[in-house]
Amino acid sequence: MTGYRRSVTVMGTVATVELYDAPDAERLADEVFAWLREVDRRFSTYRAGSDVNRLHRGELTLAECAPEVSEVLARCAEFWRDTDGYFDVYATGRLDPSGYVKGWSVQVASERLSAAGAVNHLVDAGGDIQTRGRPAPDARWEIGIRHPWHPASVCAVVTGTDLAVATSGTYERGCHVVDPRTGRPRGDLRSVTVVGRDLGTADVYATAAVAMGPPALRWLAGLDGYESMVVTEEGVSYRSAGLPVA
Amino acid sequence: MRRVILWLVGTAIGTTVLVGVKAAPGTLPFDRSAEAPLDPAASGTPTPAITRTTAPSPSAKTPTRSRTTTAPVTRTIVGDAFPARDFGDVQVKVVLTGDHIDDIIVVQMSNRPRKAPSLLRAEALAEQSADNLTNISGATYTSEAYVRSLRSALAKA
Repeated sequence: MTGYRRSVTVMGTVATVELYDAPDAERLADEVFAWLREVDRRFSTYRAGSDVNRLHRGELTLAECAPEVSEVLARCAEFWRDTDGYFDVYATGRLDPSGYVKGWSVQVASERLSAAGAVNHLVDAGGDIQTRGRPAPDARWEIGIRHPWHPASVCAVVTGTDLAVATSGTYERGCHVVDPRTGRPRGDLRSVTVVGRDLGTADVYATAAVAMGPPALRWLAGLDGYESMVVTEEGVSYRSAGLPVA
Repeated sequence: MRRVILWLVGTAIGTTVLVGVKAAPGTLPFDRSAEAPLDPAASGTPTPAITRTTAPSPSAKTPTRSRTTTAPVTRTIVGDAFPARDFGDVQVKVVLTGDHIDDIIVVQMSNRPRKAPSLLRAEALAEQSADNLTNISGATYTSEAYVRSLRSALAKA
């Protein structure tokens, strides 16, 4: 009964893999990080040669991109509809699916780990976290939600077994989420955390909620299967009734 | 006493009966085709003696008008149910003495819309130490200073 944990820098952030009682943990972690690097090469808007940037510049057609690119963009179109247009890969004026890509790539890594027999794991890329199974017998994963003003503190702890936790906010990179309807960055909601089963979806919902501003409090409450926590710029904290707090 | 009841009846009608029926002036806004005549013994079209008012009128008299020679009887008449947007069905019953409305009772009216809009619950912003937690959600690792510091440490390793 062994635990394994490793972190690397990738995608401009830190990614962590934690495996509990997994066969060949070292190799599985290598594969997760190799996948995340590949995703970064294909999707990063900061890499001149990424498929997404080449698509944006018209150097590639969608058919010429890696198949994952079409899948991701098709899924983003569905999310655009599901979020009433607030999740929009063109919100900044150019193609940018990063509000989905990070969570999606971690979710795929998690699915591959499960398929390989590593059913108890945690994968974290820049604070978007996917867990499955348990960190130890009879234990549940405990994920803190960073305090929106105090970096060394948390404002809540959520717990569970098969848990995805995605947080979007303004306290690290400033107001970087753009409201597609105005074209301007949103700052009313300082932190939005969405908790549910799948990280790609949670990532999108958190991003859409920040773009939405205060109406997100009602929209988030109506989501099926996803719980949430919001802290406004005024310091008021909101949570959904079913948020799995520890 | 009856004057006050009339005033309350007037406002109650306005809030509970959601069917968009246009009432003729001086009449009650019920759908005439759905209700029994106010005074079944009357001949011709019954004209209620009660006027709907929205404010108490000091000079209002107790309305009485009898079209028959028998004494008025108190009856309860149940109206039909009608669907109101977002509220389910609304149904009322009326207690009448003669053609005087004594009371209007709501038989059914759902207070809750079918899909109740909900809102996240507000609460105080809590704070606790992150010392005993290894996994934290939030863009903790994307701050430039953090990454720079981390890279510098890794470079030294």
